[in-house]
Amino acid sequence: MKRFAAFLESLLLTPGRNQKIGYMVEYFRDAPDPDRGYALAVLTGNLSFRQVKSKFLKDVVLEKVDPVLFDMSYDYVGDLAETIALIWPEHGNSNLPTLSGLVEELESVQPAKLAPLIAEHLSSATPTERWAIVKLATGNLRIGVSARLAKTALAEFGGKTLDEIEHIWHGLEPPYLDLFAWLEGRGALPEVHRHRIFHPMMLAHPVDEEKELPAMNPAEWQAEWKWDGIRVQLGLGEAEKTMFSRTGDNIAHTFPDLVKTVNGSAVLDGELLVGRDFMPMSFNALQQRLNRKTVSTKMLADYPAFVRVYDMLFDGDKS
Amino acid sequence: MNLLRHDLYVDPIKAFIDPHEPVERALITHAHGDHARSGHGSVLATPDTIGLMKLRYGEDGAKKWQAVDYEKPIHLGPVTVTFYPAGHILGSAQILLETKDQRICVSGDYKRYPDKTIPAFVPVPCDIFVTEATFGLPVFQHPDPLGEAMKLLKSLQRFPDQSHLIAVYALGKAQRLIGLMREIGYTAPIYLHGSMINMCSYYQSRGIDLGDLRKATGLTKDELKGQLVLAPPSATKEVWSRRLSEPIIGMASGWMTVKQRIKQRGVELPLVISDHADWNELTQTIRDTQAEEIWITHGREDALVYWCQQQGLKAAPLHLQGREEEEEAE
Repeated sequence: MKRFAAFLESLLLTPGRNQKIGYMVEYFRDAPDPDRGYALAVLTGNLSFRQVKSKFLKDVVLEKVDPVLFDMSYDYVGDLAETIALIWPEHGNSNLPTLSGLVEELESVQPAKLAPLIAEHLSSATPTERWAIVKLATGNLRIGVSARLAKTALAEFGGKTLDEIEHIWHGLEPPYLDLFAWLEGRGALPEVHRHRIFHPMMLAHPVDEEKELPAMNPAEWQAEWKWDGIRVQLGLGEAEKTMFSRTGDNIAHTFPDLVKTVNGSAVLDGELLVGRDFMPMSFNALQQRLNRKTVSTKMLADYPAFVRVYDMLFDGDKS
Repeated sequence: MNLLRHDLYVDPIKAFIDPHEPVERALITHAHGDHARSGHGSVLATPDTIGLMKLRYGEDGAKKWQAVDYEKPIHLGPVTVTFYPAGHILGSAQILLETKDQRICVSGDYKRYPDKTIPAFVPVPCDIFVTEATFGLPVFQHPDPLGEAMKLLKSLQRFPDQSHLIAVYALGKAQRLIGLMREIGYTAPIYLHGSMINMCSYYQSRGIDLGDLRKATGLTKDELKGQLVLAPPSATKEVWSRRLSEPIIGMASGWMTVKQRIKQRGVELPLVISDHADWNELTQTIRDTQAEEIWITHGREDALVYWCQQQGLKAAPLHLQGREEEEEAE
């Protein structure tokens, strides 16, 4: 836990993108399995503990701290994890579990034993370790590292391209032992199901009307309307469906209405739009539905989603 | 009637404590600019506070200087005034005002963590304790300063090709950090921004060993490579710092407790070393004085007022004019 806490702190305090990548490469190189895999899951937002919410942690703290003093402190600090880390009144010196030890504990502990377990660890930790424990447990990092930056560091660590990482990313699971084995040249490229793979897209770009357009032979081209939505890739499998944005984020959970209606075994390339009877509404209307954790019934009724398909990348297993 | 008013005026002897404007008679707790100003008629303070004030303001920074040693009571009419060590910076004192009816102690700024450059804080039993509250929230729990100095030493060893530029206040913090680094075995020269040289020389002239100190000004980037350089907080952001190649920017301050603040300031190497009392020191000191009434001069007074009231003590914030808040308050 000590190494992980120091690592998170370095990432937060380092302003430069390249230095952040440097810290991540160093951590991926030096930390053992499965710690580094869990750290990667934390950085990419792929680890969460349903039982541990901010409210729960606040209650654990209020067992030991006056609520008025806690609120005054929270107002000043502005970050819950940090307020808890700093205000925690007990300072032991016992050993903390490793990162993976803590992850396994949080995943398996009985609900009734969760609060005493967290309290015990907070009492054993330094302020920075407490901060890291709370960040890890709530999954709310805010340390200025995007999932994409973490994958960029991963690519640099393994001497691969970002596309190669993105390609298999959604087929992998924490603690990513097969991924690290491949990156270190100890194992083969991890095998993942086709519909869980993100295939980097060729994006539309403008053509120079004077120079490039005359040289293009219309017989070799097919014209498509440029819809004002967002480009997506639908991966349809028997048990599971994915919908990737152009940056490789799986946004299927945000569009349950759409995902429910497409079935089969294929990978489709198209434009995500909202509107009734397949009549596209404005991009602004589509934005109402993006980046939501939960989608209300009203949202589904007002802005129903659909996809204009440009291409079928795979029909079953055939490309 | 109290011996002391809420604006820190001692009526029977017509004197102000740490006045913001020039007055006839001033009692000064310590030499930081927000407590010790120039232009007073007479100044009563410890010899080192007077020495440091003269360094800043010159001999005519006050019309008359009167030095008084720690724990030597002086009788001014009906009031006995005694200066006790406050453990904040060299010369810093708490001022005890005493009549046959009442004892009031004004803390000035203070801390109780060990500081080998100066005499340690002495708790003074009193009826009314006037305390600072710079770090008056329970989130401020300062760590062992030697551990923080070790962080700096490790970084110097880990990045031997980079300069380490550490922001410190010129009076007090600079000398304390140097002392801590010497204590953990850092013997290399330490390079100083021009504004710190006088203060460091003063400490050295008082027999405080700070080791090999040199001027940073005029040296090349190569000469400062791998070296420890101290500068006031403002200089770390300015042109001045450009003389260093890819410096690691650090800061030694109690404010370095809060990560979001560290980030806002662009500090990569935060060192939580404070010359002010943290929450536990504030509350412990209030208990130690056994005072039943607490006045709070400056800082985050709300939480401390609330805590005092929870303990059944009378407490009031003073809202003094001219005390520097936040980052500049060291």
